[in-house]
Amino acid sequence: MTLIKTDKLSKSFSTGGTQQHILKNLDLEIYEGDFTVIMGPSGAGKSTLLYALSGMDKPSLGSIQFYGQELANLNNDQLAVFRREHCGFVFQQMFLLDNMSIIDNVLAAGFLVSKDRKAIVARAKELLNQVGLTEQEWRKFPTQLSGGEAQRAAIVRALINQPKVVFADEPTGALNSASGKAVLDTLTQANQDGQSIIMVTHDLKTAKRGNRVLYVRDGVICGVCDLGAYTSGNQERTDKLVSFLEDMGW
Amino acid sequence: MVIVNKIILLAKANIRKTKGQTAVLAILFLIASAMLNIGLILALGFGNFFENTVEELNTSDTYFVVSGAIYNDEIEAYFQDSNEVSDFQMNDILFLGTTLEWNGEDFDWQASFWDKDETRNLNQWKYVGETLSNVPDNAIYVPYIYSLVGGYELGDELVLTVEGEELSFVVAGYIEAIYHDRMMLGDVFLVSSPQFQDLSERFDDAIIVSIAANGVENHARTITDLMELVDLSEVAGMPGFNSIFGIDQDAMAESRTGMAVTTAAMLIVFTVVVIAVCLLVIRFRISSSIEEDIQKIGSLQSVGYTSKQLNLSFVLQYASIAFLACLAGIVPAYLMLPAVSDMLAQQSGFLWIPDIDLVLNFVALAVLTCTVVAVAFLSARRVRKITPVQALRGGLATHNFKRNPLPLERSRLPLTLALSSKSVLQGLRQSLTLFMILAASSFVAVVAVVLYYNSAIDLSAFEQVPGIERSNAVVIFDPAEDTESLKAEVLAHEDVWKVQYMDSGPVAVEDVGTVGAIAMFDFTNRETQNVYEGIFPRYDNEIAIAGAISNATDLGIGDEILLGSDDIPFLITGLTQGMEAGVLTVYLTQDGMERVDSHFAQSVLHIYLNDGVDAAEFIEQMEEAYADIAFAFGDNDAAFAEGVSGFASILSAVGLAIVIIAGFVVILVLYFVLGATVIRQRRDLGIQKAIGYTTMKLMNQMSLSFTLPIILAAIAGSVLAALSFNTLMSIGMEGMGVMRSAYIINPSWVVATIFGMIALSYLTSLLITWRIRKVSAYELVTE
Repeated sequence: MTLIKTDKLSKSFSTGGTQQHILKNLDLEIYEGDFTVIMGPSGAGKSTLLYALSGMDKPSLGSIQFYGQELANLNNDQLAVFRREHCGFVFQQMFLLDNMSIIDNVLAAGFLVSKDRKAIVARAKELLNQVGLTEQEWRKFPTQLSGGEAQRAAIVRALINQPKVVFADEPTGALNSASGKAVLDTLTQANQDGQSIIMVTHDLKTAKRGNRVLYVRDGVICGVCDLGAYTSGNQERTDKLVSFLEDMGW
Repeated sequence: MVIVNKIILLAKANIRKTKGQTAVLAILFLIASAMLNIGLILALGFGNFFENTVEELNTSDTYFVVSGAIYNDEIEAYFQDSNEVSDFQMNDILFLGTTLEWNGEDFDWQASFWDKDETRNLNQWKYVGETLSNVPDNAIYVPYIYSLVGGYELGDELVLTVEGEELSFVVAGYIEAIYHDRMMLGDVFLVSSPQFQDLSERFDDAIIVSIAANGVENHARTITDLMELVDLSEVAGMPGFNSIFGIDQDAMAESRTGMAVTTAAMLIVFTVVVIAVCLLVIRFRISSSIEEDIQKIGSLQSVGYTSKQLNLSFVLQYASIAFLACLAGIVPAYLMLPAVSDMLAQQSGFLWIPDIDLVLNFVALAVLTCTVVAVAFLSARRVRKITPVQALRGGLATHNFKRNPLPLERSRLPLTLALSSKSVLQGLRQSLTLFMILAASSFVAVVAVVLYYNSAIDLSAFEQVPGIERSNAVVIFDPAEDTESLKAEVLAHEDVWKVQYMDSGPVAVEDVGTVGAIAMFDFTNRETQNVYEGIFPRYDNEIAIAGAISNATDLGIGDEILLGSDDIPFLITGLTQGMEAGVLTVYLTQDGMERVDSHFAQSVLHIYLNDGVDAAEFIEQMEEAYADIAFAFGDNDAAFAEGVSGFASILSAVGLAIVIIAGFVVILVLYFVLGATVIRQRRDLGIQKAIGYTTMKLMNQMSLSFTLPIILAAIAGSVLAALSFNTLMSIGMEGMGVMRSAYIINPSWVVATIFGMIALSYLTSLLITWRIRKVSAYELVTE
């Protein structure tokens, strides 16, 4: 089933009087349950595409339909409500609220949507346990945790409202390899539990976790690679992805 | 030199970065400087002006007036033979009750006619402004307030009605004299010698003798001595001034400059509040700047800037704002001073043209700037403790959370309220700063609102300040008539609901001298209950004395005080306030008065009219009915209206101005604090927007986080002001005989002020936090 569909999606910025076209007439479909990976060189428009699809930014032209609902017509507050109800976000820099404990960061998102506070608290604790954070760590402030721990907490925040889709922008970009693997394992597990994920990355190991890879260059989608479901140590998938990326000029 | 340049560059960069906040701070300093300069010039300048005028007019140390009816040569001999008296001068003047038009309405006032052509060595007078070039025979020279307030211009006709006779004059000039004003001894009118002679012949009962004397050590004792020389029984009950009165220069100065001193004190106190607000804001801004720019500070330290240079850049930034704004504030101060002077002239009767006082301006400027330098220096000392590495890692900004108040997991509050409460508890220092500023503003606002209420809305308490009985009309009957029957007759009038006799006269009090005594049959019937401790006398051996007499004699309730030349003992039952018969007043029953003065007879009937009855029309009826047996008639409503209107209009204007400025300060402070908070929390706001918080939800959340300290501050400041207002006023007005002020603290006005402050704060908060709409979640990830 189609989760997101774009029609001639364009995004331009004006810098110093010059118009820069970042996304150019993109037609795209993203499917429910997929772990979609967006790759491409720096400045290709990957993150711009991700934030346009998530309602974080508005397109300059074209349409974005989320389960058939048009996002391009929504105002900023309507987009905020849309994001809280349907989206979860994982950022490279985590963007947790520094003045709140980890569990409060999660609940600040959870209480925004659900009125059943007990259920949200229980779910938050369950998810925090699932990602390997101890109760002692929930009570800490984000800056008191390692980067990997903080990013896993951010994933819990993204998942707390059982969103239709999680948007992840370079989630392992600021982490060491061990922490990055733990974060990817968390996201992979969520996807295997049915969670749709759209992730931007330029890292091959990270991209391997997806089942569908879109390659963006100069604001257009140059190619799509279907990798099939992720299984650990599957060399065939890796080779297929490498071959695809080589074809794309990566 | 290079170091200084670097510091200047840094300070300039900081100012450029915070243009809006710099402008707001500059406005606050400008207001403070303007008010401080007005206050100081008023406090010192008006006092100096008065002293100079006193000197210029060769004003005597003491001044006495003696009724012509009792004057005798022994009085002149007393002054001549006195070892104390170095110099004295005696003049005849006419003391007349007059009716005249004042701003289109008729008013009854006492007037003192002086002979303009008479040579005066002591207590001279002077012209104010232009005089008429072609002086007519019926020229009259009037106090300056006749021009300023009364609506009289040079050449205008001034009609005075004296004892039913109309006297027509032409206003030929304006004058000032020290010892006479409307509140004491009447307005001074100067007329030519022939005119004076003519009036003296027509109203010979009204002649009194004025004695200006230098060297008298105790004027009260002198009055007592003079009383021994005259026979008051001859004039008992007679209309007009029939006694001896004396005053010294200090008392007159207090009466004339009291309002200027009070206004100056109010302005200076309010300036202190505004400056305190500015200093708290500076402290807050420096602290915020260090947190916001911690990485910039780190990079500057890493390229070689010392902590001292960084500290001095903050000092220079705020000192230059304060210096320039305070310098600019001097200009509006001088622009407003003429209006202030006009306002004061209504009460003082003097035209004060404020001089430019550069020394005073410089001192005010220096004090304000130095205070800012000290506070900025102390607030920026924190920079010394920051190492470049710590700063570059954003150390201070991100690692200073020690506890997690109000965990959401256990909170039952709605999310917005829970998050805003967390902010309050996490930013206790900021909340405390805001609390202090707003509590001070609320305190000032309530003081100003109470002043305004009492001087513009309900003047009943204000009218009680002088302690004068608040009847609507008064008729002075011939004491030889059957005054009890006349009282019954007047009471039977359909417009009257109450009448009572209340007479006054001088009595000698031990260790004090001669004071004014008020006598009446039953004090419980008084409308003006000016006993602030104890009760009025009920029996002929009881007395209530003014608080000022109690202070002077160290006698209180339960003590005995000796009255009259026979030292008759009276038991003190109460302490009074006000200046019904001067600040030194005693209250006796009629029987008590007779014990001191065997010739005492009741004659002054106070009349209380039904609601809606016009006192002036009623007086006309009384004049028709009792012209033959009454000496005088008085319209107390008109006298009160005029008497309190000068004070009331000044106080209500000052009160209103302070309320507006207090509200303005609240708005500016919130602009500062909230504006800075929005900038500082830009990242967190972006994160919250990304995860689905709407602009309105964030605006409410931030506004609510400020609302709790605002509510507490508004309540605390307002309640404190309401509870302490009368105590403060009692201290401030002690010189006017007010020992325990009882201004009306209308709870609904106080509550309305609290709600007003909260609503103003909340609306301002919403307006300022409206800029959150510009914070975008997308901006967060693309920075």
